[in-house]
Amino acid sequence: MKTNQILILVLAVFFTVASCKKDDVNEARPVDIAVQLTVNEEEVWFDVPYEDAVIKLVNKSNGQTYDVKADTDGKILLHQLVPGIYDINVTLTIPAETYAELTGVNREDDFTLNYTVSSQSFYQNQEITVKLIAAETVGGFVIKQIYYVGSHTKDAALNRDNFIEIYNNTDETLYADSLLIVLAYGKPNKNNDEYSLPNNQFDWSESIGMNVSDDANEDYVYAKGIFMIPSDGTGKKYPVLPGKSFVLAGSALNHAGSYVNNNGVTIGAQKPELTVDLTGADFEAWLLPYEQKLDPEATPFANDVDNVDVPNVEVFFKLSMNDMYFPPQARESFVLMKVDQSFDLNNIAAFATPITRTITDKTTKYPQLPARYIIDAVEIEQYEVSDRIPRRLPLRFDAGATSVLGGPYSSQSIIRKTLKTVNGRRILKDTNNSTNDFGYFTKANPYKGDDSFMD
Amino acid sequence: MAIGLLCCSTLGLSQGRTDSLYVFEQDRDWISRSILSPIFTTGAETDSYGVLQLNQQYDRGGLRMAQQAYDKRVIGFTAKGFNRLGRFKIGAIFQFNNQQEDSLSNSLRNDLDPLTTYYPYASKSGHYRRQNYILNASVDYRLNRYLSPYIHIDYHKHWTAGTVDPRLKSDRFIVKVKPGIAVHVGNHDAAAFINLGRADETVKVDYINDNFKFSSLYPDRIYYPSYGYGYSGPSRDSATNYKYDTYKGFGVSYQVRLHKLIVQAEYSYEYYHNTNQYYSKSSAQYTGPRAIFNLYNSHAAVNVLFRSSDRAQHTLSLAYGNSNGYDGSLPVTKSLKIVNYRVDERNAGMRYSVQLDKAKTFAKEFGAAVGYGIIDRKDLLSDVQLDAATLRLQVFANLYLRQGIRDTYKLGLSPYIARPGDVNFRYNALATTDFVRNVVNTDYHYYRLQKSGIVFDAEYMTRLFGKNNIGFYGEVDYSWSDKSALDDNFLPAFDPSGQRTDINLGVRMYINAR
Repeated sequence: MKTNQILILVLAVFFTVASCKKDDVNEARPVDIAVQLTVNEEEVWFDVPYEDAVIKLVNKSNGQTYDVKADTDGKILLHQLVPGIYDINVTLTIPAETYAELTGVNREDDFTLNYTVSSQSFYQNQEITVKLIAAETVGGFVIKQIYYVGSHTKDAALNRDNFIEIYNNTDETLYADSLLIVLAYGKPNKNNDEYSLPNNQFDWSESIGMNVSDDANEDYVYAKGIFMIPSDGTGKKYPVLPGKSFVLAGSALNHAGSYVNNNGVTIGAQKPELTVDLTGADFEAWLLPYEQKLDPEATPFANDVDNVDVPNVEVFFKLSMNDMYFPPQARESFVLMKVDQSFDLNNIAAFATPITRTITDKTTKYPQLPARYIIDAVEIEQYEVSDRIPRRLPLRFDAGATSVLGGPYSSQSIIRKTLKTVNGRRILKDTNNSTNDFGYFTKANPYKGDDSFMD
Repeated sequence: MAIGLLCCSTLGLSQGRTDSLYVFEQDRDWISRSILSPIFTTGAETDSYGVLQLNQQYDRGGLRMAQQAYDKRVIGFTAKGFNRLGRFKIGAIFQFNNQQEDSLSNSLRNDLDPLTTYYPYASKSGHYRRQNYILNASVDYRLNRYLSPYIHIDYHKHWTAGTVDPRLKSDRFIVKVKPGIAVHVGNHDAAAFINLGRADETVKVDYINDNFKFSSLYPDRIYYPSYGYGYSGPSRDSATNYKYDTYKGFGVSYQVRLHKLIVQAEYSYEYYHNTNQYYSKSSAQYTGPRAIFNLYNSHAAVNVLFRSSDRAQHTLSLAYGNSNGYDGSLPVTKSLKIVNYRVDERNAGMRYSVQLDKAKTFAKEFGAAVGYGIIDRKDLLSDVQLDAATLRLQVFANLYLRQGIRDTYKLGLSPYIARPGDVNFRYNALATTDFVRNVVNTDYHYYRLQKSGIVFDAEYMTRLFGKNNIGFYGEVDYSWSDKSALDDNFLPAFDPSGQRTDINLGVRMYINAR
């Protein structure tokens, strides 16, 4: 009996020791990545000083940012890189004087080359080529300020105080008539599927019924909201002087004070210092007329209050909003465009997202707007890298992206930086790379004074 | 309640041939090792031993590692002892302590498993409270002349709570059961046991202030998960982590008693398997671990006690320990079988002491100790490695003065020096995270420092009331270092050089049955 007990104990010890044996495991290895910067030699025929490029890599798994440099041939060797998914942003600004030396051509402004790719996978040693895109300013209006995050959900105005400010960045008077402010839609999450582009954005060319001859992803944007500055037909009703701007508000009300909403409820901010007074806005979005076009018996949304002293923009499309609300989670980007007479805003082709494989009367479709009409565009992103979703805009219109640091409902706005001041007129930075062109205000400023610029 | 009963049976019923008042440090060390052992008291003069201790500790100073608090205060209670009851020997050590730590950063975790990974960290310094309830108990039964089956149980309940956003709440318990058998043949005693245990822990990180929770304006308030020794995960990743861990192992011990010599040897091996998951096992969403960590611990020690004459007693202790671990992590390598983090820690030490004139009014103890430790930690994907060796030399002298039959005074002095050996730090500029900057880099500077210190301790033992002895004691450990040589291009989170003072004050009750 005792022998058996001892035998059992010995066996127990043996099996315990045996189960402690180390597993067979492999070790992880970092990767080497070789990057070659190039340009379209038909557009950029001169010797590019690649060594001046500012190159940022962002590891999307943890947000770590790395600054790297290229050699004079545009080669970058990333040695022992942590495998993962990265965003790459390249900016190469060639000063006007250097540009003249390189090309013999004088130009007033600096020349900028950009490149951005999001969600580039680096899981094995590889070589990639990055083709820089020349940034050329298309029009004279630029987006100066976007207040998309709103203010405190209980003590201030939530997202009722959203606004966007458009600036005349030229030395001549421009007219705001018929300008379109478009909320560009894209995939609102990071899900991967067979209808996605390499950067995980929707591949709109896979949408059912897509019939465009050019590139459905690069040559168009897809809208969640389309708002147009009204016009009297002359095209000159709303002049904007050089160095001046206009503000489009969701509701042109004093959110820092109080007002009565459409349900007769008095709305006031407990902490008015967190929000803004938008009674001085130049335009506001009032959605009821649009709703009544769809349903003549529609009644106004509670917070879609019309300030009769402020002109309303025309609403051509809006989805999932009870006023002109911007998503504080940076799910949409902002586009400024002006279409010509050949484009019928009342009959815009619209498509369902490519993951929608059955189309019914109730399927949501997103209007498709040609990118050739874009005047300015700003890609918005979450500050936290891990929270970012695929970018929506074609690279050539915004090679970067920007965000406020405070996150949703922080009262902050993104603000375009001032490049220089000429004869008292500020010229705002516009390199088609929002990462470089924008900063942020700790509190949005819709009042157009000197303190509404980031000098 | 069970803990209390066990302590009472161990301590309250202490009946023995000698008092529990072990005046000499050498004797205290020796008897402490015997409390839970089924063989180390065999043939000893002692049938029972019991001590209650209440102490307060203040530990403060800038000479510290990256994940160590600037200021730490501990209030602790310890009850330990053993007793023979017929064929049974019951031994137990119960400890309760309440800790307050201030200015602790980059370590949103408990302080129990410093070699593990997969925990959140934030650079914001915070205030932490921790509590430990620890019971180690052993019961052996003398079956016959040769055999004593025994069982040893370890129970540990721990919680940590932070009070600054992002605030940690960690709740962990560990249970280990170690059944074994001891064999007694003449002057030889040997024992072997197996070790089976498990631990559960829930780790939560939360914010009270929404500004800190959502905003990026306060980067020190953003927490990241540490997935290795440099690799960090997405900011503010899962706020809850469930750990289900297991322990397996075995141990052997041996003692031989000769005329003037006692030799004790022990060896133990433990495999610790840690798993981490988003959801608890009771959740329908549970899909298994996201990350694991395996740690193999082995420990060996030999202790020799030799009485060369009536006035001199010598002890020599040799110890060696090794901990070797590696991880497996889905968020890092997509596989639990691919290693990113490795750690290897080895420590060896030797201590000699001689006790002189034990029976006289003035008794003395002198001795020296040498310790050598190496730690090597690697994050393979981030190409980060920190390996450091430290040599520690210490000498000590204790003087004992007996006054009458009631009072004894002890004074001790022990200078030491810790010299850095090879210290190597490698990091990759393309993989530099806050963890590398704040933790690895700071520890690198710490390991490179030469530290000196002196320990002064005193105890007054008397019999104030009843039959039990009381000891009032105090100990001050003051250490200092040379100045750090900081690299301006890659500064640590703080300069870890300076001084540190550890003060321990308390009272002990030595329980005597007579």
